[in-house]
Amino acid sequence: MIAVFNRELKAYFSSILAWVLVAVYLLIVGFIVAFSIEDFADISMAAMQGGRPASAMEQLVPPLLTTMGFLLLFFLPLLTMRLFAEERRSGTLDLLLTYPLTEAQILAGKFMAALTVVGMMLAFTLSGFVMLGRLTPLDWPVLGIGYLGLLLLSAAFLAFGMWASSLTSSQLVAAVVTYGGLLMLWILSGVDRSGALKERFGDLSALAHLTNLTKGVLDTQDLVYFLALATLFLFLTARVLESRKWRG
Amino acid sequence: MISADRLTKRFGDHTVVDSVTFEVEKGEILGFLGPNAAGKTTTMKMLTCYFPPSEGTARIAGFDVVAESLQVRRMIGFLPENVPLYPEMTVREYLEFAAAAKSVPHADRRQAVTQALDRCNLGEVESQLIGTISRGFRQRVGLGQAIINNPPVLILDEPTVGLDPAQIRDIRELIKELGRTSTVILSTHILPEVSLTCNRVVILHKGRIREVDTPENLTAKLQTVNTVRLQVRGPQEEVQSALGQVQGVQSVTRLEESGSEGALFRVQVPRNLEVRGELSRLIVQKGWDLLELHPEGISLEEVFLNVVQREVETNQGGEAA
Ligand SMILES: Nc1ncnc2c1ncn2[C@@H]1O[C@H](COP(=O)(O)OP(=O)(O)OP(=O)(O)O)[C@@H](O)[C@H]1O
Ligand SMILES: [Mg+2]
Repeated sequence: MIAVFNRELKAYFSSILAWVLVAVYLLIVGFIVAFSIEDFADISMAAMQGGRPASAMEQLVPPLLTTMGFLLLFFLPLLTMRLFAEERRSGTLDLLLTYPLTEAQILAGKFMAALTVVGMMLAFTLSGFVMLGRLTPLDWPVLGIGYLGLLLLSAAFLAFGMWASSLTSSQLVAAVVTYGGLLMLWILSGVDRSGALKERFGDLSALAHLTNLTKGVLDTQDLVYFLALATLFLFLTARVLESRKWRG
Repeated sequence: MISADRLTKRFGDHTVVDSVTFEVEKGEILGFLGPNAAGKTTTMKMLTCYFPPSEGTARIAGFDVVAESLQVRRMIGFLPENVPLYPEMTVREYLEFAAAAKSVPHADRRQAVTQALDRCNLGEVESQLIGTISRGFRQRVGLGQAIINNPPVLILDEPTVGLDPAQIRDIRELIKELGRTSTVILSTHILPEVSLTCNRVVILHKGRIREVDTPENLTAKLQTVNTVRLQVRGPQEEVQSALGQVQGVQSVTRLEESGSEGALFRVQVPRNLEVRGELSRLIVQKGWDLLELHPEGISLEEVFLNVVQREVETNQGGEAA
C-alpha cells in the first residue's frame, strides 16, 4: 500500500495539476474569507447597536466552512479522475494487478494519496482562520469539528470520484460522472421538497450533514453518513477492479 | 515449474484459448509462437493471475493461479505487451516503486534497483523521465521491473517487438542470460526469435496448441522435402536436365542469383532420400566443376506456415464434406 501511496503522491506533485488545484483553491478561499470578514464587521456593528454582540462562531464560521465544502465539490473530481482511468488507458493497471498486491491495497494507496493532497489543501486554509482569530475570538475545538466535517466530506467525495474513475479509461468521463453524482448528493435536500425521501432514509444530502458539523455539533449520524458513503464507494471500486475476473 | 492443464478462456461465446496443456521445466525458455489473436497474451494473463481461466488450471511452482494468486504473483515477473509504464517517473523512481510494490525488503531495495539497472543496461537513462526515453530503453525498463525481485519465473509478452536489430540481439542475449537463473515463457510472432532463444516452442493458433517441440525437432518433423543447393560450372541447360534425371529428384530450379562463377541450382527430393553422393558423381563424370553443394534446412518460418496452412486445408476439407 505504501508503495502505491508514495507513487500516487509523487504523481500528483510532479504533474502541475495538484499544485494548480491547491493554489487556486487557496486563492478562492482567501477571497471568501476576506469578504466574509468585511461582512462580519458590518454585522457586528449593527449588532452592537442592537445591544447584543455578534459571534463569529455562529455567524461567520459555519457559512464559511460550508462554502469551502461546496468548493471542494469542484476541485476533488479533478484529483480523482485520473486515479484509475489513466492507468486503464495506458495499460499500467494490467501490470499493477499482477504485482503481489491486493485490490484493497491498491485502492487504499490511491485513496490515501488523494486524501493527503486534500488534507494539505485544507491545512493551508487554516492560516485564514488564524488571521481571523486575531480580529475576533474563535472557538478552536468547534472549528476543529468543522474541519473534521470537511475532511469526512472529502473522503466521501474522493471515494465516489475514485469509483467513477475505475469505471472508465477516460479521465473526462470520470470527471463528468463525478461532478454529476456529487452535485446530486449536495442538492438532494433541496430537490426533495415534499420530504418523502427524507422521511424514508433520513437526510441524504451532504450539505445537511456538513452543516451540523460546521456548527460544532458532533453527531454520530453525520459521521456515519460520511464514513458509510466513503466505505460504500471504496467497496464498489474494489468490486470494479475484481470484475475483470468474472467478466467474459 | 509451470504447468497448465486444459487452460481455457472464453469471452462470451468466443473461445480465445482452448484447452491448452503444457509444462515448463525449471530453467527452460519456452516460446509461444502464433499469429495475431492466437491467444498468447490471453494465456499469459491467466498465468499472471490477471484473470482466471474459464476452465482448467495452471500452477506456478506448485501454487494455483486462482486459489493462491498472491503466492503466484510473488514468484513471477511479467512484461506485458506494449510495455505500459508511468511516463512521469524517472527510470530509477519507477524501479524503486516496482521493488517496493513487489515487497522487496526496504534494506535490499537500493541493491535490487542497482542490479536491475545494471543487468538491463539502463545506467545512462536512470534519471531520465520514462516519457522521454526511446523504445529500446522502455523495453529494458519493462524487463527491469520484471526482474527486480529476482523472480524464479519470467513471463515476457513480445519482448523484442518494435526494436532495431542491434537492440533485438541485446535483449535476446539478456533473456538467455535470465534463462540461466529463471524459467522463462516468452511470446512472439517473429519466427527466428524462438529458434534463437528458446529450448522449446509451443505453436498456438486460434487458441489451440498445434505443436510443442524443440525448434530443431519441429523443423525436422514438418520438413516434407529435402533441399540441396548446388553451384555448378558447366552448360546451364544441360546441367539442369541432367540433374533432373537423377533418380528421386522432384524438381530442379535454377536460381536467379547465378553468377559468372557458375549457376546455382536448387534440387528437391522427398524427405529421407539421400542424393548428394549421386549428384556429385554425376557432375564429376560429366566433366563439370562442382563448386558448392550443401543441404538447405527448412526455416521455422516454413514450419510455421505449414502448420497454419494445414489447419486451413483441414477446415476447408471439413466444410466441403
Ligand atoms: N478482454 C477481452 N474481451 C474480449 N475478447 C478478447 C479480450 N482479450 C482478448 N480477446 C480476444 O482474444 C483473442 C486472442 O487475443 P490475444 O491478445 O490473446 O492474442 P495474441 O496471440 O496475444 O495476439 P497478438 O499477437 O496480436 O498479440 C483475440 O481475438 C482478441 O480479440
Ligand atoms: Mg498478444
